[in-house]
Parts: sequence; C-alpha cells; structure tokens
Amino acid sequence: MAAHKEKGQIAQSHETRFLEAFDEYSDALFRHATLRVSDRERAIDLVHDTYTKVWSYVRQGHEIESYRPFLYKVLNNLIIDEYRRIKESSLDALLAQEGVDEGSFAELTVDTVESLASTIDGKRAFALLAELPDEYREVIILRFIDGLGPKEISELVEESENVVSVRLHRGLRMLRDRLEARDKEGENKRQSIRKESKT
Amino acid sequence: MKRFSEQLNKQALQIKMTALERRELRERLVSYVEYHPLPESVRTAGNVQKSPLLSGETFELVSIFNIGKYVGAFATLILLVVPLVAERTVPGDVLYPVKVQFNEEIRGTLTLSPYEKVAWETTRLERRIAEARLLASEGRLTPEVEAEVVAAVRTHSDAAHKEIESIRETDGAEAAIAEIALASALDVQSEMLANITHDTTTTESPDGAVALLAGAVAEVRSAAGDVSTNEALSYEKLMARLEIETTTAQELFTSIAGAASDEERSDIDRRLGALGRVIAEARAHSEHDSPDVLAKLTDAFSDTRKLISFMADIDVRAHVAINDLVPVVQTAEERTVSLASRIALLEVASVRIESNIDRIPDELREKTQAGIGVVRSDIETASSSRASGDLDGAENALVSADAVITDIMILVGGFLPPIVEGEVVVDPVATTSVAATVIDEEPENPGADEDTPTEPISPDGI
Repeated sequence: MAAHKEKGQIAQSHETRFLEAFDEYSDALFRHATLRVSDRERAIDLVHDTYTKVWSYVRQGHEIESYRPFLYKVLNNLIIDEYRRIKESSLDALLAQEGVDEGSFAELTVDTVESLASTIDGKRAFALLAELPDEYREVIILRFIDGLGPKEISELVEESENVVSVRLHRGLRMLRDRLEARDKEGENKRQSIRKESKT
Repeated sequence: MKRFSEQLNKQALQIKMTALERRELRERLVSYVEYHPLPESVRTAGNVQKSPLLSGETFELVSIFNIGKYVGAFATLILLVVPLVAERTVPGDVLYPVKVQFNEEIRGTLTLSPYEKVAWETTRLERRIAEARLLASEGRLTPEVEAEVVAAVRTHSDAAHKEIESIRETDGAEAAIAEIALASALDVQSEMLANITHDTTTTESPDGAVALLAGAVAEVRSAAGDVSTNEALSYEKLMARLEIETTTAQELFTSIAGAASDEERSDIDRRLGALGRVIAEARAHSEHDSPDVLAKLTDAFSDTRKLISFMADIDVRAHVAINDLVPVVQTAEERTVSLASRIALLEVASVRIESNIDRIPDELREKTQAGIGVVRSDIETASSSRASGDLDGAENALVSADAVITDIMILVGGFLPPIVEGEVVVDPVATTSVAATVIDEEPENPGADEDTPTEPISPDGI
C-alpha cells in the first residue's frame, strides 16, 4: 500500500508548479499591485513581470520552496522600482524628516499596532489608502489584506521587523487622523447648515 | 484588529482581474514559458522529479492547446480569405497559383461524377482563355504568360479527354455526350477568339497574342474531331441530358432577361423555342434511335450548350453573334413562307434573263438557256415539294436553283441592262424570308464588288 502510494505520488514539474502558483496567487498579487500603484493596467503588467522574473529565477536552477513569499518579494521590488521612477523617497529621509530614532521602536509592539487598528473603521480607511505614502500603504496592505506576518513582511521589504512595526503604526495613525479630520469637517458642515436654517 | 482586517479585506476583495484579463495574462505567461524553456540540466536535476503524467509534454500539450486557437484563427484566415482573394487573380499575380493549384484543384475533387469532372476541366479551360483575353486587353499578355495559357489550355483539354476516356470504359453514350459538350465549348471559344483576331478595331489583335491562343484552341478543337456521329449515342441518354441542359438554359434566360435588350431576348427566346420543338418532334417520332432523330438531338444538345455559353459569358456575347453560334431555326410555317418568297424571286430572275437573252453573246446564249432550264426545273420541284409539305426537298431544290442563277449572273450579268429605280432584284444567297430589296442606284462595276454590302444586292446588279 505504501509502495503503491509512493508509486502513485506525482512529483510536479517546474512548469506545473509555476502555473499553479499563478492560479493560486495571481489575484492576490493583482490586488496588492492595484492598491499600491492605483493603476489597473499597470498592476497587470507588474504581476506579469513578477511571474516572468520568477520563471527566469527557476530557469537558472534555483529552487523555490514556497512561491507565495517569493512572488510578493519580486512584486514588491518591482513596485519600488515603479515608485522610484515617479519620485525618490526613502525611509531614512522620512525618518529624518519626522525625527524618529530607530531606538524608540522598542515600544511599538504588535499589541500597539493591533490596539491602534481596532480603533479604525476599516471600510472607511480602505478608501483613504491611496492617500498614504507608499511605504505605509505597502506594509498595511501586506499585513491586513495579504495577511503576511511581520517576519514575512520584514523579509519582503528587506527591513527589520521594528521598522515594519513603525511603518504599520504610522500608517494606521495617519489613516485614523485623516478619518477624524473628515468626521470633524463633516460635523462642522452640519453645524453651519443648522445655523443657517435657524436664521 | 481582526475587525479592522476583515473590513479592509472585504473592501479589497472587490479588486480583482476580470476573467478575460486573467486568461490573457495566463496565456502571456504560458507563451513566455514556452519561448523560454527550462534547460535540460534544470529539468532533470534537483528534488523535483518528472512525472510521467504531469510532465513537460503535458504542459506542452496544454500550452499548444492554448496557442492552437490562435493558430486555428490564423489558419481560418488563410483558408477562407486568401482563396477568396485569389479567385480574382490573373496570370502574373502573386496569388494566382493559389487560384489554379489550390482553389480549382479543391473544386475538382469535389465534383462527384466523371461527367462533372469533364465539365469542370472545360470551365478551367474557359477561365484560362478569359484571363488571357483580360491581360491582352490591358496590354499585359507577355509571351511568357501567353505560353503558359496555351499550355494550360492543352492541359485542361487533355484532362477532359482523359476523363472522357474513363467514362467510356463503363458508359459509351455518356462519354459521347461529354465529348459533344467539350466540343461545343471549344467551338464557342474558337469562334470568339477568331472574331477578336480578325477585328482590327480592338486592342487585343494587333500584337497577335490572341491569334496564337485562337490557334491553340482551334488545334485542340480539331483534335476532338467530329463528335456528332458517335454511334454510342443513345436516345435515352441524350434526352435525359437535354432535359437538364434546356432547364439550365431556361433558368439562365430568366435571370438575364431583365438586363438583355429586346432584340437579344427575342433572339434567345426564338432559339430556345426552336430547341423545344426539336425535342418535341424527336419524342413524337416513331423510331427514337433512328440516325435522323439522334442527329437532331445531338445538334440540339450542342446548340443548347452554346446558347448557355452565350448567355452566361458576357465576353462571348460581345464578340460572337448568336446566329454564328446557333443559327436560327425557322418554324414550318416560316419555312413555307420563306420558300414561297424565294421561289417567286427566282421566277423573277429567270424571267429577266430570258427577256434579255438577245443581249447575251451567241457563245454564251446556249449555256445560259440550259442553265435557265435547270433553274425552272428546280423551281417546279421546290413548288411541288413545298405544296406537299416536303420542306427539306423544296429547300434542296432551291439551293440548287440559287447556285445556277448565281453562275449565270457571273457569266452574263454584264450584258444585262442596268437596273431601273424601283426594280426588284434578287439576292440568290439570302437566307432570310425577305431576299430582295430595292436598289436606288446603278452599281458602278457590276459584279466587281465582293465586299459584303450593307444592303443585300445581287452580285451583278440584275
């Protein structure tokens, strides 16, 4: 029986695994790319380029144990290249701008991020994702939409987990601040309308 | 955070590729993989083992299937569009070989019976001639192309004869009918090309290109020989084929009647009527297989084929008179009236010569009188035959009388007095019911003008 199973076990070819990886992850990759670059057509091209780069990697004789993180890494690099074509920005520059020392990352734990996220309306926040800087948008999408863990994200963006946590926190805070600002703006408008109606 | 993540996810899941986008992206990747295959060292190395089921061959089959539909669409384009475009080509065009070696060959294989194969080879022969004439009219018929056309004419004629011989092995009568059909088509083409060659007003004849083609067609036609007296012909086969052909002719006439002139409609309708009468008379004849009946049916079949060619081919109509292809056949009543008219006119001619016998030199007078005697005898025979209904007998007698009168006029016409205005003269060789006309002027050189006159007059102006 075991021998039969062994005999019956089908080893998959490179091509088959590659196509299966497309069938399984292409939608998620497309969604991620669309949210990052806000351009549907460009997102399709990025997904295409991602898979062709991965195939080239396989042709060189490399083994891919798990396609998912590898695909996200390649896609992320391509998106970064895309942004570099648009504008130059780096975490260091951003950090320098906001005066944040990486030494203070210790207090930004997973619980802190989770606590902050729980205070935000996800449905309304989704509409504001495009307004976030890409560094923040990237990690939020990877974490809360693509479902990658902190370690996977850190490997993907080639940054430490602390930096990933900082970006997550700052991105979520920015979302919350903008939602609160819109709420306040809406309330002010309602008050002015009430005043006008009374007069 | 779970709630935040769920909410975010719910919104995000609305972002996805359409089925078409996904399919197209997949096909792009499949193409990429096919054009960038794995090196053999990579294919067999490592922990990944090739499965006899999920091997590269399977992947190739899947990818070929995906690419196959593009190949299929391209093949459809090639198989449908290119042949359609090729149909309008002539020798020298890029797609002309597609027309001849693909389109026509395919159509040839679709013909079911050997008879239809003969008909198709005949059609191909006619096509080559039409193409050559088109090129000649445009000044593009080079010697090389002309040689190709001549060779093609011989090739298709040989192919038709080959099919006829294969028919003859099992059905002699059908083979004979196929031969008549081929000969009729060659007669039409030969007549048309001969007229074009002799017509100095067209642009096709000056360089002689069409003349060579006409010669080739004539050669092919003469090689076919006399097909009307084939002993293998049978009444049943001929009648069956005639029914098909006359039906085709009638349908063709109906389709072109709207575009044809009144004269053309009248001419064609008259001939179709004549063919119908011949068929009816043959049916009514007591001996269906008599040589006379078979000969008439054979002529009717040949005339029907020529009439169809005349109606179907505008080039034939432009260069060939219908009467040259299918001479008019008079009805019995028409013939009776015509014979009576000719008899009367011959009487007048004979009286004129006899009343002026004194003007004729002595050495010619006796011969003239003897000739007049023959004419009178023939007139009497014609009259009695006509009265008894023997129209063919009357015709034969009048033909003899016409020939003698013509000889007399050549001999002594110069001694006769000039024609007075209003005097009726006879055209001994006229075949219409009205063989005479009034001459307004005296001819300057009686008997010397051999050109075809615009109005029928006697050769020496009696």
